[in-house]
Amino acid sequence: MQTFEERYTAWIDGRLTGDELAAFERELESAGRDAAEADRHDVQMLGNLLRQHAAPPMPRADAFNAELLERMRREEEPATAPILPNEEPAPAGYFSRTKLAWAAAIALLLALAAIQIPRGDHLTSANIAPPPIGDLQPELGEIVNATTDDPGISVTPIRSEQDGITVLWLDGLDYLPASYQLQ
Amino acid sequence: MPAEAEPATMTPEDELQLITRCQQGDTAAFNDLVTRYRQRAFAMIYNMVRNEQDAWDLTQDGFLKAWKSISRFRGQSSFFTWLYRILTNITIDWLRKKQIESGAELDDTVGVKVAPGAVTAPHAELAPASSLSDKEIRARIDEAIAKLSPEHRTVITLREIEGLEYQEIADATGASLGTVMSRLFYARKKLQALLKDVYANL
Repeated sequence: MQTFEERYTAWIDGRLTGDELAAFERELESAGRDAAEADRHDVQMLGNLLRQHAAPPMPRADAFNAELLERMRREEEPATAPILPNEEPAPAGYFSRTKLAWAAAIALLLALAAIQIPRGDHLTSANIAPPPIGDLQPELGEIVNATTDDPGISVTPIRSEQDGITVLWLDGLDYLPASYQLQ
Repeated sequence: MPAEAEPATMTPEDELQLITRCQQGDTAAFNDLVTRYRQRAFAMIYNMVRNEQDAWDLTQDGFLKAWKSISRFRGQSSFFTWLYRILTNITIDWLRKKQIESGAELDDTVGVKVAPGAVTAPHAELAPASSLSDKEIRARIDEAIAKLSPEHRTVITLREIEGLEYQEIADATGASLGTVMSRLFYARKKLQALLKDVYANL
């Protein structure tokens, strides 16, 4: 059984016929046939108005296909990218290990440049006395003079007199700002 | 349906052949289909979104989706009915998203309330619209359409402008026939209330 709205819409559009039409028009007599006829006329005028002011011609129609075909090509590119026969894929893990090694090395060097070292009481390897600042290379001298307000960041200098090197062990850095990238 | 600039020489058999070639990955065949239907697709979307740039972009999205899905076209309906469905889905989704982003309420009770079973349209508070320019009339229509929900915009566009039958609208929107007719009833009533002064003075 159709609702009144459905039957009314069909009546407006002239889609009711035969017994359905007769039954609905009897129903309309009680609801106000004249008002319904006026409403049908209104709907026709509304439709005319909408059609008269419908869409304008498509702008840049000549560019439409070219842009679409370009999008189609771009969408398909990753799936159909050719693999050269002589090109062997990188061994699994190799690339990531290399990346990790580089990341670690760069992180350390960048941290050296970026970190602000807490004062001496943060140095955990107390048995290793850092050389006097004046004896350090200029870069290291700058680092050990830096300070930080972040208690979560610490640095541990480890000096090996035998090898003549100093390693700064850094803890607490979540990331290195991009501006500190190694030049 | 409104007359559009379509290649007059294309028969249904030609179209079917083009679709088959598209299904085999022939982009040149798809290019021909796009040329045939782009204006109708654009017009249909424009009438729902009432903005040229948005309609252009959505038409692009619609054809791109059609290209990706064309292998699933089985020819049970006409190609354009199938395309209509893609276009209406994309446009309705876009309108809903825009509605959410803007925080606007586009439900059908906003603005003008239509009583169930009402024969006459409710009266909106409107100024007399004598001697409106084309630009002003278009602006009034844009404003009125903007007050309809995406679903009501769809049925009004497909019925009043595109001239689709109820069943075709149901196929294009995935709604039942009764839902289409009911939505059409309320969408018309609302637009009548909002635009009566415009069409009555033409």
